[in-house]
Amino acid sequence: MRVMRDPDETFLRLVRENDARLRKICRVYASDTDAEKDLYQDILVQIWRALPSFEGTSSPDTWLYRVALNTALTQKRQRTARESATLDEGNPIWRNPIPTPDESLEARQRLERLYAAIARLDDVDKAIVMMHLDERSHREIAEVLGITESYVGVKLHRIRKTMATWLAEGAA
Amino acid sequence: MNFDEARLAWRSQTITKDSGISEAEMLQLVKRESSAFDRTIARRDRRELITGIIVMLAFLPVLVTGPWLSRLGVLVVLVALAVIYRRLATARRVEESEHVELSLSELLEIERAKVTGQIRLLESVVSWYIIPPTVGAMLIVIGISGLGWFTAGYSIFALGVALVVYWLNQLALRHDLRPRRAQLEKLIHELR
Repeated sequence: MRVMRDPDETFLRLVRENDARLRKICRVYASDTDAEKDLYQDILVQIWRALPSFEGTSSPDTWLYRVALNTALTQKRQRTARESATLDEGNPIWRNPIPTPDESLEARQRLERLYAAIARLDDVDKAIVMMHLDERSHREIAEVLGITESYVGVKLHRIRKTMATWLAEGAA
Repeated sequence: MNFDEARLAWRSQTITKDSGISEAEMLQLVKRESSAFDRTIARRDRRELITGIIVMLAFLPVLVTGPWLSRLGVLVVLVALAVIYRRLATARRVEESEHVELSLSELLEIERAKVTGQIRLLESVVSWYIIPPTVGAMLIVIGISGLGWFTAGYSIFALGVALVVYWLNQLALRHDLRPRRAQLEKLIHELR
């Protein structure tokens, strides 16, 4: 995917195809719903601002993960710098997720348990586990974080072990 | 629930959203937000430049017709203001540069370097931000009014202002910059 041909279309396609992923990242890193909305908006603005840097060298997924996670992890700085420039106080960009009727109560509870377990991890491990759950390869995770593939493997092994305990605790 | 079940739960979660705004409206909002940020920065830079020019013009009569000590004071103030403007502008350019497309570890190193630079700037605020313009202003007042009650009163006032400026800068260090650096270092540590 080349960007410069039509930045508007590229941006919309990126957001359209990755909206669910962005929302998961917001849910994992934000402390409450308001923070989630702010983070979502910040990520969209950062994707737009960083679009010229996306030259199709890395996959759209990897690029998007980088921008979204980097924004989430350095959000405070950006919000401080942008505070006076914020126009839309009501966050009209944010659209509330609608619970899907076919989602069973058990599935929702399972998901809540999973989010609760992820919340106990440190910020970098949250990023690793999210990408792992999204079935990203070790190589992609390493590219996003700037660490070696083997170290991703080591960290994942540790995270999986820890989370397995927490998930089992939650089920008890 | 084991980890594979967790992965299944993660993958199968469906997130749909209400139709609050169209994609075109969202794009407009994002563009507006992005350019509002750029405009705010440009406005601030322009405001500071205009203020600097006004200060220089205000001091011009003293520089042309004032006693030699006051002229020296004006020169000191002008040089100090130029140095302050340059240092702050450089620091801001670095602070406002965005690198969100880099890998997390690269970004964190850059952010840490930025915050460390800001910390150093504020730690040395006395030598480049407080003393030079205060000394310049004192020379202007002494040159015009001599050593009398007015100069004594002005000195106390100038010292008070300098102390408040110093205190505000230390406050920013304690409550903003040092915690931010600690947070970045924590993230860098987590990556290792």
